[in-house]
Amino acid sequence: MGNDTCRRAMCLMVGLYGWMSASAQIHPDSIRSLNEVVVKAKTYKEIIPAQTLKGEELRKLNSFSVADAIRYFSGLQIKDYGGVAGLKTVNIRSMGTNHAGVYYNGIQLGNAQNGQVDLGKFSLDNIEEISLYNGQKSDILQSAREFGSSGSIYLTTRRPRFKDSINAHLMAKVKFGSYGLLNPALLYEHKLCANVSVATSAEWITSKGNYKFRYRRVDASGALKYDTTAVRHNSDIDALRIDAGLYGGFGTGKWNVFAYHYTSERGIPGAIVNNVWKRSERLWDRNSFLQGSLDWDILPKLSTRTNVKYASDYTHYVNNDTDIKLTDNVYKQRELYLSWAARYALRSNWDVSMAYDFQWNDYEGFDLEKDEDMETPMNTATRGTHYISAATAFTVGDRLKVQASILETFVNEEKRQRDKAPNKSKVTPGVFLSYQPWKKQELVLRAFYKTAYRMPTFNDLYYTDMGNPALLPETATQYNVGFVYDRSQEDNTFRNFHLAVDAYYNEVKNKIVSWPQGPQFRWTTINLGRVEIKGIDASMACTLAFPYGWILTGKVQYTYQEAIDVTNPSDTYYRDQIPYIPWHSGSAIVGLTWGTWSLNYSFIYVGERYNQQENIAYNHTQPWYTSDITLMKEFHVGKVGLRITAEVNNLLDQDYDVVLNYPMPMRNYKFGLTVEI
Amino acid sequence: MNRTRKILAAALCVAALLNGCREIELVVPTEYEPLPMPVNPAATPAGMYLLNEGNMGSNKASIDYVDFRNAYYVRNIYAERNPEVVKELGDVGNDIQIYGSKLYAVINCSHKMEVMDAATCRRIGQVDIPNCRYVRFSKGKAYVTSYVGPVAIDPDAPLGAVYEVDTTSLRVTRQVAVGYQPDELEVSSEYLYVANSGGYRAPNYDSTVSVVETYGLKQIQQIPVGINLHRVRRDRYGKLWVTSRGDYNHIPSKLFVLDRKDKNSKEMTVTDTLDIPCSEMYIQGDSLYFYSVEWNKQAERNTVTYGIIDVRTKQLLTDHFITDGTEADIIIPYGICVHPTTGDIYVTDAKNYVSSGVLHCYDRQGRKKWSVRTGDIPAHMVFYNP
Repeated sequence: MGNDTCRRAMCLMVGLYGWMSASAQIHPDSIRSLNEVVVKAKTYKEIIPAQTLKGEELRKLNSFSVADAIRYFSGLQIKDYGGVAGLKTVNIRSMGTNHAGVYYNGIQLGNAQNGQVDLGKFSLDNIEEISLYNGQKSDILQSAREFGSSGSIYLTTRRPRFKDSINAHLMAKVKFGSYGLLNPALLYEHKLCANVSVATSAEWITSKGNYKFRYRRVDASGALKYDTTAVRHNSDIDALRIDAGLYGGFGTGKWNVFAYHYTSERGIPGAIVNNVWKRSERLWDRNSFLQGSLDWDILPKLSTRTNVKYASDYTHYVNNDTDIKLTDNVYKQRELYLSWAARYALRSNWDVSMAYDFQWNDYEGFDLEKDEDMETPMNTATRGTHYISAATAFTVGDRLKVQASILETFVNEEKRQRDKAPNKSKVTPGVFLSYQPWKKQELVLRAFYKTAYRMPTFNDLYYTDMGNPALLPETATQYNVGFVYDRSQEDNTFRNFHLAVDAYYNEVKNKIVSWPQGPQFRWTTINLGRVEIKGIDASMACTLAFPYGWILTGKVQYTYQEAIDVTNPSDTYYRDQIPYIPWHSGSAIVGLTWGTWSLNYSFIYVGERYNQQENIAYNHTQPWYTSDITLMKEFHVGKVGLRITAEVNNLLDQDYDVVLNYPMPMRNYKFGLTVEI
Repeated sequence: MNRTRKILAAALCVAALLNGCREIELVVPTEYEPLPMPVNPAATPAGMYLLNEGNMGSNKASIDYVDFRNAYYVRNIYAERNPEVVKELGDVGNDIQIYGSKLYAVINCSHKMEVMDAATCRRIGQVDIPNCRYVRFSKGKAYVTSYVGPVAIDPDAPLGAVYEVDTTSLRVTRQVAVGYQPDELEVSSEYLYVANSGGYRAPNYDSTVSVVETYGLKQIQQIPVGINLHRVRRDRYGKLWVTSRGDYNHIPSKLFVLDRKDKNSKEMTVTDTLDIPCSEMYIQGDSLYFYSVEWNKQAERNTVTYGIIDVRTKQLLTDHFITDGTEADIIIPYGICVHPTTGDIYVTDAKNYVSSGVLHCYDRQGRKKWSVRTGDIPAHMVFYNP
């Protein structure tokens, strides 16, 4: 099965490559215009600019995975179960993990089984840029599905770029650090011909994850009652990632094919509870995908984008603890995705677009305890989803920009063993505005309204104990107003200043929640919840240049959120803050650069919050804040570039939990060496 | 530079907003709430302990106490009385009992039985028993069911076990394998009757009651009863009342009565099968109080019944012992017991399992007297008599 998939993937890739290079050769005269392609694309300044971390800035942050890096964005919360191996999921503006779309090189990462993407799996090694869009990316040439997320995170891998006559790059990195962390990585980029280049990268991560953690309690008088330090067990990871991309361009377009394979074995450390300090659950993952995209301006006014993806995910979960139920399950998911989008410029200031996507998901679960050879799945589900979108964007007097989109989704729930869920369809609109009141001032006012939904996952519908096939999609409505102010100047101490403030009101209806069913600990899922979210995101950045080449950069981000449960006035938690959403959170990054030296300090604060629905003392979770420091030095030995980094994380050695009973590592260190040719 | 100062001021403002600072976590304090009942220094029993299960992984098992003498509800007593216990009471409380002067709490996912002084709730010690479920006592010994027995017999499908614990030394003295995933047990003369669920083997549930003689601690018989057994209680005539959970799908929950085969026999057998679903029960005199919760697929809600059965006639006396309509306030009944002298009925509500529950008190006519907030998933109750 695995081999077969692999072979098919190879065939597809070779086929695609052949087709792509063939289509590239149709335009032999386009070679010289390659570099202009990017510039040629009509510059339409984004209505709602993204929060972005990229390049040098991203490299200086003490971040290991994508999940670590996006903590510096405002308006989102990370659930982190601790360590390199621990699950890390993102919640944008309190609407829930399932409402956040995560895109890898422009195509969404899916998980039809539980709707969650573990961002801890994506290391920063090959990532060049991370962007967070609230609402949606304000470019109307995008796939239909991209109009469907309430908030989106775009991960973009490093694209090959070659200076002058150099046509090959080799970069080797190694990171090592506390808790047996070893992380070598290799990247190779080659210019095959003037308009086709290839990039491959491979990375191995291994960590014992045996970090120390500490639990302490004092009584009301302040006397210490217990103070215990222990070592996390079963938190090890061994992961390998290999990816390869082909990038090319021709006269009026560009294309790429990208293949990704990730395989890992890890321990699931589990909750630390009284008398239980060790668990023995193991998880093996294999995630592979092959995707291609083609941007082609067929006519001067007509641009198109085509995306294709095939993904295959395999998860093997084992519980070896003889004290509890032995479990040995395998879950397989497959996804096929096709998308075609077109944008037509009606006038120089008015564009319209359309897109159609089709996605097919298939899921099978096997119980290896009973069915060793995986002959008959214990459960299966298949779903076909069609997305159709239409969007328009226009500009009035270069000052007012308007974008409107509408997306219709049809879900065909195809087959499964128990009752079939009914087919669903849903229409969701969005309107985005931005206005620049003064031509000379870079002050832009912005506003948006958007409705998005999330389809129930296979687990919601069918499997977590007792799924509920009658579930409706969960909808989130967002209203946002804000402004952004930018100022740049040369030859002054103040080089850049950036300030952005947004206020928003979100409402989540038909929220899918677990509900007790029957006498025992059995759950079903129902559309019960309603959540109201009011929030403010603010961010500020500035760059100061001092004499003698000292450059100081600062970035501060603050989020206020009130996310209350308004489901039912008779609930004890009516109008209480929903679990794990702090009222206050924020971060600060200060970077100091002097020549080839740079020092970066980052601070993250997450305020008090509650770990269950009721805001009572028993559920109170304390604030946490960490300080991280990185020192970096670059130098050249002949043609070889070298970079050395040293990091201290959780400098103040704080013992904290992000998720109740999942302790986080205390002070730890990382060192890195990068060699670039 | 003026602007620099402005920026610094702004940064300071942000820092000030992040005002909440972190301290070493406080031992969760006990809360005292007056109950609307008269103070009665001579009340017997003096009080009632309530064990809240807490959702799995939350480590929020907790003990509350209803003080009948001082008319107080004492919430979360364990942590404050035993502040030095690392990570408090533990994860998922499954049973609470008193034997002699000691209070025993079986903490399922902490794989231990906590032993406390029944008068003060102060910890005496703990007995480590993997995946322990319920405890009963006989002749100075505690008998604890466990979902997992000795793995050596069949590593792929380990049988459950009953652990024998000496109540003085608090050591495991012996253990015996019984059926699959045993739940409640009951002591009747020199025998233990153990209800086997087989819950880990669904849909191939166990369907037997294991009979264990306590002298040699040997399983001498497995009585076929019904699938997925849960509760077993003895009435004052020596009959055993056994509940089955059914398969949550086609086979409904049922109530079985086991009695001696004939007057001279010691062997028990199923004499009656009542088509009454039963989730939990409490026998007081000749009355068996019970409730049942069943999921109705069509209506997408639970059907709940609160009834009384006469243990002599095995007839249903009423199917709504709450008479004033206040049962509508209960979302998921999760525990039941009856005051031995006043006849007050206590029913707990676990709500959605992840928020505080409620303890409701009804008088013997089924009218609500009071309600009070509990910990998460209030489930198991035991009366305390000094």
